[in-house]
Amino acid sequence: MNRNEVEQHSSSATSRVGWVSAAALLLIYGVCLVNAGIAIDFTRRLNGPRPESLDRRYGDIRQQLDGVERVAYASDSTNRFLGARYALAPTILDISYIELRREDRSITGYRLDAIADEAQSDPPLRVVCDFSSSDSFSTFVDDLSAVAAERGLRVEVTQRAGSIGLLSVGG
Amino acid sequence: MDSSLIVPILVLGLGCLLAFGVVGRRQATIPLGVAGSLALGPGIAAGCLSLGSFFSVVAGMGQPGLGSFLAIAVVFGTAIFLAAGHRRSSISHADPLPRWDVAVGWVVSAALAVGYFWSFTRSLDNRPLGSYDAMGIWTYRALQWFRSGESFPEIIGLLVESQPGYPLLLPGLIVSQFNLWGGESIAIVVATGWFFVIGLAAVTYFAVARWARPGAALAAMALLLSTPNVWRSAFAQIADLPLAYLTLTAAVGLTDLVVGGEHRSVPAWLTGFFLGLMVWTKNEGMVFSLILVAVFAFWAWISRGRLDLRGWVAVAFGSVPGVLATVIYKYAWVTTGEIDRYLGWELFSRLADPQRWYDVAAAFAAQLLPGSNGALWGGTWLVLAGLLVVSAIRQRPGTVGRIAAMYGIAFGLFFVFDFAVYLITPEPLQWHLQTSLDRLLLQILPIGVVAASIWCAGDAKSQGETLIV
Repeated sequence: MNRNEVEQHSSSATSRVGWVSAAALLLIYGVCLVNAGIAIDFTRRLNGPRPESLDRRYGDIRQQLDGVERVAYASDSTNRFLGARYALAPTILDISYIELRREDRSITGYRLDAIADEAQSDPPLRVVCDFSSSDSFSTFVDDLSAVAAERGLRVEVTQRAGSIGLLSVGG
Repeated sequence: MDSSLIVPILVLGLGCLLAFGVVGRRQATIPLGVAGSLALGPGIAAGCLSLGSFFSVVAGMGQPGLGSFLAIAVVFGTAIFLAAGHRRSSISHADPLPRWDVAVGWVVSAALAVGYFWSFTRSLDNRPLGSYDAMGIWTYRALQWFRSGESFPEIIGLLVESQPGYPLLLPGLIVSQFNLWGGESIAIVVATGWFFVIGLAAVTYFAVARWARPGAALAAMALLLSTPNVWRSAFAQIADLPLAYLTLTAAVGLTDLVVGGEHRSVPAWLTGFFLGLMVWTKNEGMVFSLILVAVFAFWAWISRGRLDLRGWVAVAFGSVPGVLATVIYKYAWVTTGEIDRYLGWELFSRLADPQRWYDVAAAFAAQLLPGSNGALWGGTWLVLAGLLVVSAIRQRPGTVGRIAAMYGIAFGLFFVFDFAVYLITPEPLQWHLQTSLDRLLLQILPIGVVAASIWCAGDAKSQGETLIV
């Protein structure tokens, strides 16, 4: 190849690379636009509790727990548990989560025992309850009362508003 | 807008001003100077505030106020201006002229910035408490810390109640801003996400633009920020995006340590500071920081046959605040036994179970391939795979090729580490995969995007090297 042919070849190679780069960049920006569309859709569907709603939900319970250093928590939902703990922190200095069996979302006997054990060791034990329905709340109180009774303890509902409330487990 | 937003704005501004003093003013071009300041500023601000709050409580001085933070800023700023000198970095791109790809890149970036701002206001209205991980761990611990009083044992007694093994960068950053404001503010918690979005965007640009065309750097930044999982995490108030940002920033600093010679624009001690912050952010940060140090030290050793001991000592010195805080918190005050749970004798039976290998591989594939989890990542992993194919068929010799390779090797080792964690986890495997895999992949995505971008678009004209295109 003479010098002109070399320059022509080099120029067309550079041009080819330029077009490939341009196409790649446009492809990436196209993906960015699709990505952003998905992300904006995610954002539109964002939903979660607000601090005011948590204050309303747990405000009364918070007042009753002032100065109480040991509290258990019972719920059939992890999300409710987190919301309550967030709202009540650090009123609740030692909180136990009633772990639910993942497969059937029922309360395990072991955890009812754990609450009763805690109450027996240092009564009374306060239990914050937040269930998805009023029936679940009542079922929990009945089950806990049965287990507590075996230890000579009594369960008292000190506050209740629908499916949210506060128990006292003691002698 | 909530008036308490003035706090994160001022704190971020002060961090960027300090970063300008140490990095920004030494860059060869204005865009690189701005990117360098915005890249390191959020980390400097977050680190100083979080560590300042922690050490103040440890020292029995209670929760620090405005005066303490100003003192930290003055000490840090003085150190920066005394140590940084005035030499400009020799590492710069040779072609800063505006081109169509740069113009398109800025338009797309501006559109993304508008989208992020809209998401911020939307999050403030619709989900101000962030994700449930934020409510259960990160912001919750900040609230405990802030509401608990002054004494360290009292605070620690509360913090160990929720995920005691997690370090405290994010809670400390939120608490310190509450202290500056003089009360709790959800707007401050949401806006803390700004630190790491701005930092991640800037450090991605900074990492790529020093070795490739600005248009490629803008494309890498846009690809990363548009990824739905990154976008979503920016307002989830969790620590994975901060770790992703700190990891990439530390990698940029280590690159400078190895190739920058006397013209480093990121001082070694500041690189160490960021490595320490990785440890102070999440447990994975401890392993990631060790991997980064091992990869870059190995590179320095094989390319030069020796290590710049003075530089590496400065890195170690810089990492002391973050590492020391973590050690004090985790080992002097909190005993969780979490490592023992992972590394007990059952480890071998878990590793020998082929079903676990299959389940973990299937979960990774479901994340990376378009399908059930495709919406989390959009087309980002596909683009990354495409760039990897290009990388495989394209030779890239010289310094730029080695830089891209080191980022790529670090990404690969992070990936292997994440995979191994799931193989040996004592937690229920499916639950663990479902609740954390998308966040772990988020932590390592930025360094993968930067590796691929530098490899495919790298240009070392400023280094006087000839590349095969």
